[in-house]
Order: sequence, then structure tokens, then C-alpha cells
Amino acid sequence: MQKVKGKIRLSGLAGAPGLAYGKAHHFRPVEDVTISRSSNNDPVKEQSRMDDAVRAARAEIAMIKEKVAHDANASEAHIFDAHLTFLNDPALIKRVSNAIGQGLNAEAAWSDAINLFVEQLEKLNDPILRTRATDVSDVGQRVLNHLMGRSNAIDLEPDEPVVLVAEDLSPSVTASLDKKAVLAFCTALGSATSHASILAKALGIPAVVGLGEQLLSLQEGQLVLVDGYNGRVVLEPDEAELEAFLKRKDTDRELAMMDRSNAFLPAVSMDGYRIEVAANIGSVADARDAVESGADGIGLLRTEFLYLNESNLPREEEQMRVYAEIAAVVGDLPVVVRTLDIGGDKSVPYLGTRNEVNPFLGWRAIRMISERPDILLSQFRSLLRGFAGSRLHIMLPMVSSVDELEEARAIFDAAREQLKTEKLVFAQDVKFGIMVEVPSTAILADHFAKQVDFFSIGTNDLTQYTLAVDRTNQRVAHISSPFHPAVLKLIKMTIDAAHRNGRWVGLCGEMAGDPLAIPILLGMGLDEFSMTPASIPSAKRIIRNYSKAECQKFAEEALRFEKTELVKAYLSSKFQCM
Amino acid sequence: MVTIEFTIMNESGLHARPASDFVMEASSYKSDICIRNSSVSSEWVDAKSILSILGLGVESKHKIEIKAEGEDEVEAIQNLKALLEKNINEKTK
Repeated sequence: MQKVKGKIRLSGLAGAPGLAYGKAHHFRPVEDVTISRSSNNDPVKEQSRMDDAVRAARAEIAMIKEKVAHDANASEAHIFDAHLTFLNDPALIKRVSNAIGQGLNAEAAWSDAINLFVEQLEKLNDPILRTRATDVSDVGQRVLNHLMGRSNAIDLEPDEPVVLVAEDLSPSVTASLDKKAVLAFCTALGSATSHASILAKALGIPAVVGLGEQLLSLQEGQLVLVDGYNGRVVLEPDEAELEAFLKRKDTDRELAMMDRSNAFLPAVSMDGYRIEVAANIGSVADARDAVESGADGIGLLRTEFLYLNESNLPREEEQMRVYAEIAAVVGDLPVVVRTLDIGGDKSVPYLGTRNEVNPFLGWRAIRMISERPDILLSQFRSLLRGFAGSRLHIMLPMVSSVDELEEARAIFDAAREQLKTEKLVFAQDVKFGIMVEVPSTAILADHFAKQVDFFSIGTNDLTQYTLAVDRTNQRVAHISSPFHPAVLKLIKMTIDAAHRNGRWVGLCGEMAGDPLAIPILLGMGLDEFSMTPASIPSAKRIIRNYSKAECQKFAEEALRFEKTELVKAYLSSKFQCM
Repeated sequence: MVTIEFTIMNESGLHARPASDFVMEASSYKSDICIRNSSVSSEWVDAKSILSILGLGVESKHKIEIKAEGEDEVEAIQNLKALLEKNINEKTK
């Protein structure tokens, strides 16, 4: 904890953008409250209390599910589908009513039954099955809260909205946060890509995550500033700082309104360069968000959602149907699709992933092709068919050597040949590219550029692989920054190599939407910025405020520093961070 | 009462999607249907309960037994067997 003139500052990770100022309120996921236990109760009365609680929980979950499906995306909503099925489970219901029939009170009957299933699941060998235990206890708690007359809507005063402070937030709790009662939330754990952050972004609640255990020692009711843009929290700010912050907050609100009304205008720099501002998406719902946020295209369509939660390789028709749905939403906009990027950090048995000591350096993404060319072939075929009338771009993830590109290209050609022979309709004039996210590829960018139509720089992984740091590991996360001089240099090398060969370059990491990064990326000559849909309007505004020529100077200057801190200090001094 | 024994062949065993498909099918019959994981000598559990089926921890190559008792027992067992053969044992292409 850094103490400056009596103020305490905490720095974490930007979970969801936005600024907030208010009283801290600790949220502790229901401590182990002793569950009352009594016999000789009236079974009829207890059963009816039980039924009411289950009914109320079911209604709540259905509401959350609808909200999440609408605001976030389908894959987040699945969690709540499972919760609903559990509530209807006949074995659970029977066990509970038997206990109640013997005179046990509803609370004890319910929690005994839930615990039995949770313990059973926790004992299993299979890691996927074991994770279901968390879901079962989440549902169990929700029902129990109803029985005990405790609200699941988190006990908050609606008249005085608060900054919620917690160790971590479950998807079910995050999804039920009310924007009117919660100004922002801060968590000790979590990352920018955890469920809580994704849901917060979708709900429009500013969030700072990964602040460390020290966050939990702050006092109830203490005044805090939350900066969800930069991942910072200030406790008990002095008057000057507070005033500056509130001013920034006002400007932020006005800007956000203006940004929204200008979102559909192109991003043209002051000296007349038109820059593509595209969206990163991972579902059909995201595609709608992208279009509504004014995206000039889809810069990254992640396809993992088609493969996770499945027990067999999705059939070509199934994949194709989803792609066609997305194609219908985006219409004439260009779409860049990333082929499957899964490895040992996810367990997908039918793909042949295994628990690996080092999943991010292991058998993943494009490295699957020599063993499982069938996966890529079926994906190419479904992409070509599903996006038949679209401006389709396909890119390969985690390429680290030229042979991988050649091998994938051969499979791609084979897919096209097959479709031709089968006389099926498929996309013509498809652009073929690679992700640049492994340092070797950035270093050899000149060679790669001769064999592809475009590059897309994945700065999250490029940072991880260049600096050999896992940003989800709290102890070393501070080392991880795309502003590290080595990462910036690789980005510059990649862009230069592409341009020497007449190719365009996009960037689809979080960096693309970062107000501090946008000007220097513009200055380095980046052609396309791809980001979460919500950031598009502000990114377009930032681009409109600069000329490429002046940004070139900023970029040259920024590339001269030897330390991340110096780069960031320089950029912060040049660009007011909003 | 009708009983069958079956070996689960697909790589991921009986969970998530296959398990919930199985439960949905089982729930559409009037008969009482029970299932056990004979490979781990589990108890018989209600085949219409997803929680119980997940709790059996059925992995690839495990043997399961299903029994049905009631007016549509023959049909139930036939169709559940067909479902297991079709969906659950579907080989990855």
C-alpha cells in the first residue's frame, strides 16, 4: 500500500470502465450462518415455505439469465440455465420433502440435501464435474437466503449507493447488482477477463479488480475514488484530488453522451487518415452490440464458444449456422475470424487437450494441426460456408513459425477444393492472415508478411510471451504491461514489416481501446484498432482528436525509454487520461 | 422390469450435455427409471435427476446399468439405449 500525504492508493486491474466516488461497503458472501435445526415441525407449513423459497429463487435466476443473455453474452447465460435445472431436480426435491415429512424444518432439510450433492460432486475425479459443485452450492445458498428471509439482491440501501468491496464476486452475485445501488465495485481477486469483469462491463458498472488482500482492510463507510479506466482506487482523497476527480467525472459523463451520438461517424484523424475501429466479439449477441456501438467491422471473432461446453466436435452444419447468424448481423462489415484457440488451460476432452504443466507454452491453438487437421478443416469449411456472402478474413492464432502457416494454408486450400467439388456455396476472395502474439513471429514479420494478407497483433499474449509473465498471477502481474519498451518495439517492428510488404495491420488486445495507447499506435501506423464494443465510441473520439503526423513524434519519443514506468509517465503527461 | 448394461465409449463420459439429454429423455416416461455406475459399484439413483447422474462420475469406459419399471418400461429402455448409442457414443469425427 502506497501512502502519499495521508491518502492511500491501491492499484489493481481495470475491470470495467467508469469513475465513481462513494462510501465503501463490504460485501461478504454469506458467512457460515448456523442453520437452525428443529424437529416436530408442521410438515405442511414447512413444505409450503420450501416451495415458496424455491419458486422465488427460480424467478430470480430466470430474471438474471435474461438480463445476462441480453447484456452480456450467451456463454455467460448458460451458467444460469444449469442453476434452473438443479432447482427442478426430482432427487433433490424428494430428499427435501422426505426430511420435511419427518418434521425437520425447511432450512435444515434443504441445506442437508444440497450439502449431500455438493460433497458427492466434490469427491469426483473429473475436474469438470467437480466445478459443478460450486454451481450447486450457489443455487443452494440462494434458496436458503429466501427461507431465512434474507434478500439475494445484496443488502444495500437504495437511497445511498455504495462502492462495493469484496474478495471476489460470483457470476450470480455480479449479475444481480443494481446500478442504482452500486456505484462501482472493487475486488481483491479477479482479472480483467474474469466473469465479474465481463459482467460489470456489460452492466455498465465501473470496476477495479485484483487489488490484493489489502483492499479488505479498508473501513466500512470510508470514502473512496474508483477509477475503472486505470484500475486505481484512492481512499480518503483530499479536497484538491476529489475536486479534480469530480470534474473528470462530469466531463466523462458529457463525453460519453457525445461519444454515443458520434459513434457511427468514421474515425478520421485530424490530418485526414481514416482509421478502422472494429470490435472483438465472441457470440451472436456480441455481434449485435458491435453493430450498435458503431464498429467499422469485426476485428476479432473468437470461436472458442462453439467448442466449449460440448462433448463432441460440433458438426459442420452447427458451426455454419452460428457463423451465418453472425454474418446476417454484421452485413457488409468486414469480419476477421480467429480459428480455434484452445489449450490445456481448458479441458475439452474431445479435442484431445490434456492437463499440462505449462498450458500456455503447450499443445494449443494452431499447434493442434499436425495431430488434428480435421478440426481446422471442419472449421474452415464451416466458415467458408457460413460467411458465404461476407467480407471474410480468417486468421490463425499463436503462429510461431512459418511451417505452421504453410500447413494451415494447405488445409485451407483443401477445404476450398472440397467445397468446389461438392458444388456448395462458399465465400470467395477470403483474406488469410495470422495473429502476431509470439515474439518469434514479430521478429520474423518480414517473412510472414510475404505469405499473408494481413496481421493482427494480439497484445495480451504478445506481452505475456515477451515478458514471460502471467498477468493473472497476482505476485507478478505488475510486470505485465503492453507499454514495456520491448513489447512496444515488437509492435513497431510488426507494423513496419507489414507496410514494407503492402499489408495492413490490426491490433486486437485490450491495448487497442486504451486511451494512453491509441495515439502512439496511431503514430506507429496501425491500420485497424479492435476492441470490446463498449470502448468503440471513445476510441473513435480519441483518434479524431489527433493528427497522425504529431502522433508519429509521440511514438518515436515513447520508443526511446528503457522502462515501462518512463513510457507510461511520458504518455500520461502528453495525453490526458480519460 | 427391464434392465440393460452399457459401456460409455465417448471420451468425456456422461456429463454436461449428454447427461442432461439423458435426463430429459428419461423424464418423458411414466416408469421409474434408475441408473448406476457399475464400474465404481455405485448405488442405484434416479435417472430423472441430473444431480444424481452427475454424482455418479461416469467417465469414459465406465459400465452403467439402467432399469425401468412401469407401463412404458420397454419403450423407455429401448429409447434410452438408442440415445446413448446415438449421442453419447457418437465418435468424434
